[in-house]
Amino acid sequence: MKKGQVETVGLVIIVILLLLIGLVVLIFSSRNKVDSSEDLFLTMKANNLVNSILHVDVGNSNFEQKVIDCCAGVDELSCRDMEDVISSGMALIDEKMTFSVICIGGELKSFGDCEFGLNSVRLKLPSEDIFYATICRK
Amino acid sequence: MKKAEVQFNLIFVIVAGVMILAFFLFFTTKYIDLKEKQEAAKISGQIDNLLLGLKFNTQYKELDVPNFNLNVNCGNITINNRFTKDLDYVFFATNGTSKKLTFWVKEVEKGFRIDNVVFIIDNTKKYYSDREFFPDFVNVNEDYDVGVFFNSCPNNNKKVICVDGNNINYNGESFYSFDDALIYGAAFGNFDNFKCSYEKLVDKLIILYDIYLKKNEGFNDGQEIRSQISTLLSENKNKIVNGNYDVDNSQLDLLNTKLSNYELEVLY
Amino acid sequence: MNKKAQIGIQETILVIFVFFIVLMIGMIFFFQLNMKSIQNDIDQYNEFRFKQLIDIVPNMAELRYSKLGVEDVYCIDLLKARAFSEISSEYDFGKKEIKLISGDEIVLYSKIGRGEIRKVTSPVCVYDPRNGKFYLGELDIGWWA
Repeated sequence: MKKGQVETVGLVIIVILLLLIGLVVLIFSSRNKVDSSEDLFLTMKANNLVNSILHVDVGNSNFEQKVIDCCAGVDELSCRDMEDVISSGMALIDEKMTFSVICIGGELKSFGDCEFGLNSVRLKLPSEDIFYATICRK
Repeated sequence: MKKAEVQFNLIFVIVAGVMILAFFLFFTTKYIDLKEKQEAAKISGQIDNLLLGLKFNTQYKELDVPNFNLNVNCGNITINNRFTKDLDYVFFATNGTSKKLTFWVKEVEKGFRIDNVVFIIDNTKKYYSDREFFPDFVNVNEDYDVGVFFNSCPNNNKKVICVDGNNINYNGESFYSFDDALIYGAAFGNFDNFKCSYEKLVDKLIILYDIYLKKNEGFNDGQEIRSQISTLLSENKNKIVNGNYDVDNSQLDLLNTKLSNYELEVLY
Repeated sequence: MNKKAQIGIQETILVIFVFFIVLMIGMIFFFQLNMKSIQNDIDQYNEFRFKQLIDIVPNMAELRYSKLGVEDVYCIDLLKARAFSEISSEYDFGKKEIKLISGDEIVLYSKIGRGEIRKVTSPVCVYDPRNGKFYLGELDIGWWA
C-alpha cells in the first residue's frame, strides 16, 4: 500500500507541475507584445512635423527656402533661421528628435539629439536637397 | 442490495458523464463563438490597416483575406455576423460573401473637396459600362452582374444603373450626381447603402457651404467680390437644404479664380 | 474482496472526478484569459484610432488649406478652423476634446466625458488667410477612454 501511495503522490506532483508550467506558458503568451501601433503613431507625428515645418514663413521667405539657401551656402543667416524654426518645432514634441538635411553636394546637416529612432518621410526639395526627421521612442 | 448498488453506480456514472459532456459541449461552442468573434475583429483590423495605407490618396488595394461575410448597414459593416464595425468615413459597399474585395479611395468634389469616399468593390462580380468608365482593377465583363449605362437603359433582371445627364437612376429613383464618384457608388453599393452615403455627402456639402460662408465673412478686405461670393454660397446652400441638389458651382469657381487673379486670398 | 473492489472503483471515480474539476478550472481560466486578450486588442485598437486623429483631423475637407481647389500643402486653414468650431456639434468623434493652438486656442470639437483624460499632441502647420502666412501650431487631442 505504501508503494502505491508513493506512486500516486508522484503522479499528483507531476500533474501539478504540468499545470504550473502550462500556467506560466499562458501568462507569457498573453503578455502585451511589442506595440507596433506606438511606432506608427510616432512616425505620424514625425511626418506631421516635417510636412508642417516646410511651409512655415520666416521673414519674407519660408523654411523650405532657408534650407535651400543654407545648403547652397548663400549666407549664415539662412542656417541660423533654419535652426530657429527647427528648435521651435522640436519644442512642440515631447520625444527627442533630430532633423537632418542631406544637401545635394552630399553634406549632412543634423540638429537634435535622437540618434536611433523612427524616420519620417524624406522630402525632396526643388533644389534636390533632402529633408527628414528622426524621432526617438520614449 | 448488490443489484441496487450496481444500479446506483450506473446512474451516477451516466449522470456524471452527461454533465461532463454537456460542460465540454458548452465550452466548445463558447470557444468557437469566441474564436469567430476574434477572427471577425482581426479582419476588421486588417481593413483599417489597409485604409490607413490608402489614407487620403486616390488609390486602391486588394484585401488579402479568405472568404468572409460582409453585411452593410448605414454607417457600419458587420463581418461574419459576429463583429460590427462603425466606419467614420463615407463608403459604398454591398452585402455578400466575398473572396476578392478591392478598396478604392476617391475624392468627391464640387469645386472644393467634399470628402474622400471608400468603395469596397466585390470583384467576384462582373461590371460593365457602355463607355470607358471602370478603372483597370475592376472586373469588367460583357456578361455583367452590374451595368452602368450612359447611352441607353436596358431592362433586364440584372442590376442596372442608368445615367441620364446629371441624374443617376437607381432602383426606380433618381439621384442628382454632383460627382462621378456617386455613379461608382451606385455601381458598387447596394441601394440602402447608396442612399445613406449619398445623404451623408449632401449633409457634408451643406456643412462645407456653411464653413466657406463663415470663412468668407472672416476676410476684412471689403471687396465687392466677397459679397457676391457670400450671396452665391447662401443661394447654393439653401437650394440643397430645400432638396434641389442641382446646384451649379461654376460661377463660384469663376469668382474664386477672379480673387486669385486680383492677388486676393482665394476662398478655396 | 468485494468491498476492496468497491473501494477501488470508488477511488477511481473520485480521481476522475477531481481530474475533471481541475480540467474545468483550467478551461475556465483559459477562456477568461482569451477574453482578456481580445479585450486588450479592442482597447489597443481604440487607442490607435484615438491617436490616428492627429493625422485625420488636419486632412479633413472642413479644415484643410487649399488654393484653387488644390491641396498641395499640408496645413490647417485658420478661418475654416474657426468656422468648424462653431458647427462641430454635428460631428461625433466620441468623448474627446480637439484643440488647435496657434497663438489663439480654438476648440475644434468638445464632448466632455468623465474620469481620466488621455492626451496626444502633434505639430501642425496653420495658414492664416487674413495675412497669407504659414505658422507652426499644435493639435491637442484629449480622450476620456
